[in-house]
Amino acid sequence: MTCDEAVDRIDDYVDGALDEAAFQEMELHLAGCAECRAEERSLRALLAHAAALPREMAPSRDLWAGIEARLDEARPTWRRAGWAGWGAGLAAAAGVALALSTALHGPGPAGRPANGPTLAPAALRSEDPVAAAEREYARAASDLMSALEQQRDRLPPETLASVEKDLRSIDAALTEVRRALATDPANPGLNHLLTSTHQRKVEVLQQVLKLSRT
Amino acid sequence: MTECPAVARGGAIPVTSVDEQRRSREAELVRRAQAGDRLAFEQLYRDNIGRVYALCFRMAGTADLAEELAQDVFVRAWQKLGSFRGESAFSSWLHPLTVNVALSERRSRRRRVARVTTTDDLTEFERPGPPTRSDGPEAGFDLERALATLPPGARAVFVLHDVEGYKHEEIAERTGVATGTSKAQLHRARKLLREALTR
Repeated sequence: MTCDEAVDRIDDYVDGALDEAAFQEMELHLAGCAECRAEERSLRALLAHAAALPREMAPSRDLWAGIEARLDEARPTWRRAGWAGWGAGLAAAAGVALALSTALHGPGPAGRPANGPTLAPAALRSEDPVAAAEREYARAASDLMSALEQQRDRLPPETLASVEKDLRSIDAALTEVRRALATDPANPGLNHLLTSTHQRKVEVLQQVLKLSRT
Repeated sequence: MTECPAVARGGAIPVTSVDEQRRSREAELVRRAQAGDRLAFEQLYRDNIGRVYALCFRMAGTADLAEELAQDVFVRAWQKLGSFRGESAFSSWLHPLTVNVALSERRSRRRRVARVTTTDDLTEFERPGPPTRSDGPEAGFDLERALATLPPGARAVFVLHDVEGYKHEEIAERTGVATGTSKAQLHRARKLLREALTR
């Protein structure tokens, strides 16, 4: 091995990315070449220095004011959509919830439409349906929460307090169900409870929509 | 479960308990922030700005741009907070977001030719703000400062690979370049930095 070849491989050598034969060849070269050994030492020193860099740094000024000033504009879609957009979001989320529930558990109880909207059935079939449902519910709930946040100034404080209290209870219930599922993932009752609790969250948000229209 | 001996003797609270308390406090802050509580989000910002800014500064190379990026990260985090489900620490969720924001900015900066940072203009890095490090094994060598002088592509790969521990495949995926390009950039960055080290 020439020195040029050794220098070309030195990164892979110190990163442990050489195969056994190349590694042995490199070791042999380094054993007989002081110049390349110096290269290796300087590279290892650099890497040690990089690894020792502080994990945190303080900016020269407090950035919060600049961030806070932009938070109102951070959800431009919802801001533009206003009430109409919110209604559409809620309706879509309700449809998502219904479709997921149907996909996971078959036709719902009496009174629930039998041919509700379907959501990405191929995706649901190709992966764990409960995980897919969780993800879709979380997305829907997140959108709804965003909408609620945008409209909170237009709702009576007592309504907001009530909704937030309900949502806190539901989130606590979801945490409990997930915890139980972690120890018994195949339990059908728990899986159903998980999706029905998500459903409840969407329904609470639907109620806010109804209130806003009265 | 066996009780921790330190607790049984009335000693210090075990580390795991402290961690649990921290996670619990963080989970509560996230939950409140997800419900729109800006005070809670501000606290999350204060808890995490040091880590976010350090990464932004190293990726950007200048304090001004790093501050801009760090602000973008938290605004983006606010937008995406609903997708955080508490399966990891908030800082772990924020880290790839920070990398993405920094890389996106680099891509758009590349398109805006006028804003490309020159690699030999050290006066850019003389202003207050960027930290210095003179207590390392190589006295007088300032890796932070030398990093700032690297070409942006080489700097990004060095920071991601050698400081943050990403693999070349991950860097290639995030930056949209071939793995070989990532390796070449790393080789270049290490060479330039070692030259600075021995200067």
